[in-house]
Amino acid sequence: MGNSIRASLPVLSLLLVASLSYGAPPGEVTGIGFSGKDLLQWSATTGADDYNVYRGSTSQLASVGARCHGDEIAVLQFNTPAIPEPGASFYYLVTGESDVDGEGSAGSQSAGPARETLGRCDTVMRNHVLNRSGYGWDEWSEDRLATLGTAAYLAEQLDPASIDEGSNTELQSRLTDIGPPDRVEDLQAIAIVRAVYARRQLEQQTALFYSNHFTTQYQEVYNFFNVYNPDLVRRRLEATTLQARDEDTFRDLGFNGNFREILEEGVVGASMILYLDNDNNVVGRPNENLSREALELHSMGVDNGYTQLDVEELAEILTGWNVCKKETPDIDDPLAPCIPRNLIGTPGEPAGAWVRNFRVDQHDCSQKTLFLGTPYETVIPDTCDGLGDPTSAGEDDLYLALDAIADHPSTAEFMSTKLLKRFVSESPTQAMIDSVIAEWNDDTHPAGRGDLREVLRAVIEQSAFLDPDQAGSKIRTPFEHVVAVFRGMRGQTNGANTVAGYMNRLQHVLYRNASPDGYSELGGDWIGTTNLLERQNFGLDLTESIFINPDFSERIIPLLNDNGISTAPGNAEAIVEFFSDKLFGGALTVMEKQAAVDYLNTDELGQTTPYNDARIRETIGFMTGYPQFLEQ
Amino acid sequence: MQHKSTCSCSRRHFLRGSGLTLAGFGAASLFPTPLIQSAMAGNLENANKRMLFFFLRGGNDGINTLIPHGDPDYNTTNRPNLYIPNTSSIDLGNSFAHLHPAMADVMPMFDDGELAILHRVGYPNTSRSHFDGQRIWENGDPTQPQMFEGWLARYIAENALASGAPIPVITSQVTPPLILRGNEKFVNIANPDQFDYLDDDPNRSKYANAWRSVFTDLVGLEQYRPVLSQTGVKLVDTLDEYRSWDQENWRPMDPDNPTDELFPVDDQAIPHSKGFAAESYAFFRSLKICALSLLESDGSSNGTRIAGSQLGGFDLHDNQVQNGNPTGGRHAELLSWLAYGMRSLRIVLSGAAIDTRTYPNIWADTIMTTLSEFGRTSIQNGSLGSDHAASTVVFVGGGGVNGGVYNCDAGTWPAGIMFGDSGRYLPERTDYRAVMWEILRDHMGASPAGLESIFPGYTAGGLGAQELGIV
Repeated sequence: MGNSIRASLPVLSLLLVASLSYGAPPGEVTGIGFSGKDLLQWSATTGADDYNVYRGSTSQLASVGARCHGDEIAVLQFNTPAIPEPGASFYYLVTGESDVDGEGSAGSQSAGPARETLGRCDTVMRNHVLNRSGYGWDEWSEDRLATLGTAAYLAEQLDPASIDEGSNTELQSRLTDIGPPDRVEDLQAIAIVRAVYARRQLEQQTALFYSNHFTTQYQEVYNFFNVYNPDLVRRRLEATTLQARDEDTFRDLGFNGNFREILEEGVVGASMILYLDNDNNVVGRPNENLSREALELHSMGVDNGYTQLDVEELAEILTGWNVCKKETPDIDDPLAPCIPRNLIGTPGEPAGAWVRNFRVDQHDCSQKTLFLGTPYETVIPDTCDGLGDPTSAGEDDLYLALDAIADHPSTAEFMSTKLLKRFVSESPTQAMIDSVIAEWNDDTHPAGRGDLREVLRAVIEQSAFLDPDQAGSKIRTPFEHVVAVFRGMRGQTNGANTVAGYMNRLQHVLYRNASPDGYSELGGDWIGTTNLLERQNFGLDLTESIFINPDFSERIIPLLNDNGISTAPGNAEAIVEFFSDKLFGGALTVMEKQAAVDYLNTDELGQTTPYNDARIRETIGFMTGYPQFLEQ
Repeated sequence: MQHKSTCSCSRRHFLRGSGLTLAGFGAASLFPTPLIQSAMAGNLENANKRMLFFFLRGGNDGINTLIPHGDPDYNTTNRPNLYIPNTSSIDLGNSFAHLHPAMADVMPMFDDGELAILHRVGYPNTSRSHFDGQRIWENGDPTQPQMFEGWLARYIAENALASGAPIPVITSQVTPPLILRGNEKFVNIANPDQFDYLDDDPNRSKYANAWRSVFTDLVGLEQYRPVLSQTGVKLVDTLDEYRSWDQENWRPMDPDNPTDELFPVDDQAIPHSKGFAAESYAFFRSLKICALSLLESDGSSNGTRIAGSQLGGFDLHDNQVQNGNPTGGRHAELLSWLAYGMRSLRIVLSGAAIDTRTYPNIWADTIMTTLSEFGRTSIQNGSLGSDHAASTVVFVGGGGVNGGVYNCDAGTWPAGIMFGDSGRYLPERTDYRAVMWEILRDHMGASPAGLESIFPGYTAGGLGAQELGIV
């Protein structure tokens, strides 16, 4: 028993029963479905706390192995939702697991050899959690996840302030080396360094999510500061400061604010006003650039509840908002006076900051209406009558409009969907979207309606996030790929120089994206010959260098030695197995592992020769060029 | 094993013809079986026909490109700063249309009847979104702005264009274009100067072969596995062929000005007479690789048939022109690159370049076309620019093209038409699909049976009646 393929009648799935390495084997699988869903059932086994379900395609029974499909199932049944392609069929394996004995084996085929699984649920799901809540496996996060368990680990990640970064010496020294950002290259370096080294992985993912959502382009901001010519150092500093301030704001609001707040900081952040030309948007001469993208990209989604008329009305609402330098006490007051232009760039330039500014005399004071004729119609009154405070008339138009946009159900829907696509699935179900919207609409949360931490929690704590079928369903962005390579090799990076060159060639250059829709979250947008080539080159470049560059290198050999893996010749299988586990959650096929073993055991001419440290390192670089490393 | 330093500047040059064949697989396995299952017979006479496309991203201002001077609405009231006077623009000879003066380089092609300039090309209910708009022009179905499959990819699949050729299709732009996205993956080269692995052989062959094997055998239930598998195999298989082109050392020169490179890709000792800004080099580099791919095909049915690239920057909400100088500014600069690029392509593809290599004249077999997601508002905005609008201009050039001005003459341009859409925009007169289908059918030999899968709704929408006879 335990070795036969069962039930091949008009069934969509074939079932295999796995044996346990301890206690009694589980009973045979007894329940089989005949249509869209199959209910798998098995008998309890002594000593098992829970069970793991693996699924494979019968056509790949011998070559590939089954992948984790149900993780830590506490009951004796599992509803498998997916349907094979016509003509194909699935088989299933079940293993028992206990805290005392660990996971049982997947059993053996009738002919004798052990059945293959693509890693085990524990390691596959460990890497999945680390990939999706952060930037992949590293030693600290593996340990922390093992200590806390998945639920507590994610809860801690959702409370980044509770995670001690002060003792994270590598992060702190790298940030100190870069110093306060005064060039855009510093901002780019900080982003990489944080992603590689920070324990607050989810905070960095979230900050960069909103930075990408409200993307601005360094060059456009830099162009604005020609007032500082010929002092290009100063010009770079001022442009960088605006973008850095945006990201700091997003980093904070992403966990401590609500969407209405982040929408205002994003849409009329100083860098956005400059990037999308709103400094030219004045009464009688409207410019629709910011208005359109605020509706289409920043809040509601394209053609999702607004019309061209709304674009034109919002453009009028946005008239009069530009950017100027104000003295320090005035920087949060859009109505406060600007420092006169003739003082800018002179020794007498007062301290302060470049911030958004509202000019009553450049504002279109006529009545505007958003979402005309819909349940969300919002009339923003005429302010031309001189009633009210004449110095602020029209400033509130913006706030009223942002209220209306943030409250619009299309915004909750669009943002919930986008977050789910980023963190969970590229094709979220309506039920998943609805569950996030429900949290969005709950105004009892600490930050009120649209509480961004609670919305993120709803995304990450929903069951689909931990569905094993989601593991590997997305493609790492180039940024995520490069960072994961560093993390998986105990890498060293200053975030600049060589790695910056790769980010250029990989077409993922933060703070310089020329397109206001930001970089794509969809894998299909990132798969191409050039992109794959440069990912593969990156792994090789990092591991092939002769000299150990403290700003661009890996520590593969010490990582192995510290984990008790000998780097002496004759240990190729164990070395490959170690990185198969750490880099891939163990989910490589026998053939894929053998290809890495062969790579390690042969020289460049294909001759079998004893390997040295250099070839170990290059082999691990080679493994990061595997297709599975692009997946997350 | 040759090691490089960590300096990212170390890229090698490959001598022409010296590309080493990757060891380990012979000709039979060199080119994977295409995924294409259904191959309908196309017109075999068109087996050597080629197509180039260039997407002008951001929405090109058609009104200031092919200027409707015969329309009194083209004036300084509607376009106080953008207006280009008659005396500054190029008279195209129909007493109505003028060309932006920055595009003078295309005039020999126009005068020889090999350049069609089409106004008012678009589609119904134009999206004002860049992203939906670009997708629609590339996916071929205005009813599905969120559909991620390209009409050119469907044409290739329907006609089995890709079967057997090492590089049947090539693009050179930062990321692969949606127009070619489909089941089959095609090669895209972001930077032609950097398209290779880090090391020389034999180390390169060691990892390339090992990767090829891993990607070939890749299976599994994850959704991107088929695409990853194809891309990885395609990459390795492409590199030998690509290396043999030795594109870095191909420098065709301008016969009218022998010190000018036709594709200025870097600063030269003798500055280019056109004085193009360095930021144009990436565009010319991509045009160069597009041209070379077609020339290297050398008339064989096994060669590159489709090549494409893009030029960005047309979203000119501000500083489209210089204040007080409507023929200066960013729009003029972009158009000048485009015009010189089209001229250069014509010269090299007709064998007329000063060139150390001998390539055949394939101009009669080639068509090139531009695309752009929309035009700009008929009234300028407040920032020396213009906002998103509806229809725009398309250029179609080639040895077999029926050149001339289309949709911009007294007979086709009614009074008030510049505000004929929503009171703000110039409406389309010809659907972009009618233009592209003419090219596919009459030049590329597309089987008419595949029309509805390439452009769904073409027949029901009556688009055939909008065809202009440009091919």
